[in-house]
Amino acid sequence: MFASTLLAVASPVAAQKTRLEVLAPPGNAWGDEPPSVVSSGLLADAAMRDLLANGFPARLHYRLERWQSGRWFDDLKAAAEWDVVMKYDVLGKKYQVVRLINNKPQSLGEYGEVADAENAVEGPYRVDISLPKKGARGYYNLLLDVETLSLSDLDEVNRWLRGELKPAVSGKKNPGTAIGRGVRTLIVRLLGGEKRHYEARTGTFRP
Amino acid sequence: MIRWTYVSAALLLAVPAIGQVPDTSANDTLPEHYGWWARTSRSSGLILSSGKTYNRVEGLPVLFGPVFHDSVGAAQVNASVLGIIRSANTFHWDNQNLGHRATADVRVGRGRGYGLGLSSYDVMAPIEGWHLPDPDAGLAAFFGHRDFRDWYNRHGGMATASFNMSARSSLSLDFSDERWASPDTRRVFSVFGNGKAWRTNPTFDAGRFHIGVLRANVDTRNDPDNPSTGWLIQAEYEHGIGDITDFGLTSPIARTPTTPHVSYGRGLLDLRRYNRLSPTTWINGRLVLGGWLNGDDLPLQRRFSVGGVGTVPGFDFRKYEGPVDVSQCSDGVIIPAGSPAQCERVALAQLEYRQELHSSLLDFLNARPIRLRGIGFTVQPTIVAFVDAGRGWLVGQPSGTLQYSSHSFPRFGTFRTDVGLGLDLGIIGVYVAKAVSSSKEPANVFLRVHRLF
Repeated sequence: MFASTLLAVASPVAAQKTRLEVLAPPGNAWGDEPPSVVSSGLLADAAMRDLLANGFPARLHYRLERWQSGRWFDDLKAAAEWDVVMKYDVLGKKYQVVRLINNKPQSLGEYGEVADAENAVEGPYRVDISLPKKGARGYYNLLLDVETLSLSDLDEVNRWLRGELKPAVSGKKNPGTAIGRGVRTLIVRLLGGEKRHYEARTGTFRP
Repeated sequence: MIRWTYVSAALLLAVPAIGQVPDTSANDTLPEHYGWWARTSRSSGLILSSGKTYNRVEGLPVLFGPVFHDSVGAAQVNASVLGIIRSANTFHWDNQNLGHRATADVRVGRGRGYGLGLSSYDVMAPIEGWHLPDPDAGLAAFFGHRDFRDWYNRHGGMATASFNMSARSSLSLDFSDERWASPDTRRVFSVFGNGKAWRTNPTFDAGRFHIGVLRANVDTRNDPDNPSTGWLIQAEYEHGIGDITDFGLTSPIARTPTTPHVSYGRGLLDLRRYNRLSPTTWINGRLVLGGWLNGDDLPLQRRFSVGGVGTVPGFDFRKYEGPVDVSQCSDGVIIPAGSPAQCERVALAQLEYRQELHSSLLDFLNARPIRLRGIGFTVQPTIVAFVDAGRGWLVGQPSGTLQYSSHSFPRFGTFRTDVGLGLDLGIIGVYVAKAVSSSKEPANVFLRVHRLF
C-alpha cells in the first residue's frame, strides 16, 4: 500500500543521464598507477541548480575503496575519501569549487557560469590511494553521496510558504497543488531524499 | 494466503557519512573544515523540527526553540532548549501533548576525544527501540496505521560522560533521575486506516527511578548507510533503582508479587557483522542477546519480545501464538491490553544474503534517478534472502519451555524461525517472510526502507 503511494507521487521526468566511472590507469597498469574518477550530470537537475543559485552549497563526498578478492570473503585493503564542495558566492556572483583532502582545501577555481563550475567538479581526478600487490586479484568500488546543505524544517516551511502556498492563497496557484506539493515534500524528506547515493565499480583485475 | 504488513523508513535528515577504514590514504575531512560545510549546516538560531518519529501516543512531535553551536579551541559546545507540542488529538493543549528537551554538551577532540553532557527532558520513549530503526517505526505508523512500538513517558534529567574512540565508536556512562508514566493511545492521523482504533498502548509501571547505564558502541563498518564490511557492536548494562507507584499490567506468570522498591540489572548486546563475498554479493549476520542479569524483576518498560517486521517477520507483531508464548511471554490466559513485551530475556539471530542484480530486467531503473518533487533517488536492485530465529523467556524456577533458571538457555527447537525473500531497490524493499517453526502461519509481505539491519 505504501508502495502504491510512492508510485502515485513519483513523476519520472527526462533528465540528463548521470554518469559515474572509475577509469583504469593508462595501459591497465593497475599495479603501477591509481585509477581516476570522472562523472557527469550529478548537479544538473533543476532542484539542485535552484538550491545552488540561492546560496546553498552542494557537497559531493567520494570514497574509493580497493578490495582484494578472497577465497571466502573479499577484503577491504584501502580506502581514500575526499570531498568536493560547490558554492555560489551571491555577492561576487561566482561559483566557487573546492576539493578537500585530509582537511586541506584545494581550490579548483571560481567560475561565472554554473556549467564551467560543474566541469571542474566532475572532471577526471586521479585518486591518491595505495596500489595493489602484484598478482593479487581485486577491484575498486566507488561510493558517492551528493547532498545539498540540509535545510532545517523551518527553512523548508519558509520556502514552501514563499514558493508554493503564498501564490495559492493569493489565487495565483491551485491550493490543492500547493498542499499536494507540501505532502510530497514531506514524503521526500521521510525517504531521505536530500542525499543521493551513487556507486561505480571496476571489473576484477590482477596487476 | 498472504497477509500484508507495512513499514517504513528515513525520517532522519541525511547525515554525512563518516567512514572508518583500514590503510586509509585520506579520512573524511569535511566535517572538520567548518568554513565550507559543517559551520554553515550547524548554525545557531531558532529551529523547528520534527521529533523524527510518529506514533499513536503523540502523533508527530514538533520541536521548536533556540539552538547554539560554537567551538572553543578543540572543544565543541552545543546547547538547545526545545519545547515539544504533539499533534495527537489535533494539537490539543494538555499535559500529554506538551513536553520539552533541553541539552547542553561539550565535546573535546574530533574523532578521538571525550564529551560531557547535561539534559532535561519530558519525552515519550519507545519500549524495545532495538526492534526497528526510528524512521521505519514512524513511517509504519504514519502510512499503515501500524505502531510497532509501545511508549512510556520519561520526565527527568540526565548527566552523560563519554569517551570517543573514533567518530563512530564510543564508551559512555549515563546517570539519570526520572519519573516514568504510562501514556494513553490518542487520536492520531494515519494515511491508511485513519479512524480505525489503534492497538492499545499497554499500561506500564509508573514511578521514580535512578538509572545508570554503561554503554559501548564499536563501529568499524566501511559505510554506516550501506555497509559492505565491518562490525557494529552495541552493548549496554543498565542498573536501575526505583519506587513503583503504579504497577503495569502483566500476565500472572510474568511477575512475582513484589515490593514497590526495585533494584535491577539488565544487559543488551546487539552485534552485527557485514561481509562482502564478491563485488556484487554480501552475507551479513546479526545477534541480539538481552535480559535480566541481577536484582529484582525487571520493570515492564525494560522487558523483551520478538516477532514482527524488525525481528522474526514470519510471525505477526504482538500476536499470541500458543500454546507457549515465546514471543511476548504471556501465559495465554490473561493477556494485558496491547499485549506488552513481558519476557525477561531474549535471543535473536538474523542472517541475510544479498545479491545485486545486473543486466536484469530491473537494470533499466538505474538508467536515471526516480524523481519525487525534482529530487532524484537512485535505485540499486538487490535480491535478499534471509533467515531469522528468536525467542524470549522468563527467568525463575524452571517451568516447561517458558521459564528457565538464570544459568540456562532454551533449546533451539523452541525458537520461532522463519525464512524469506525480498527485493531491495535501495530506497524501499519489498519482502515476504514465511514462518518455519509454525507451518500454519501464513506468509507475511512487508515493506522496509534501506536495509533489514
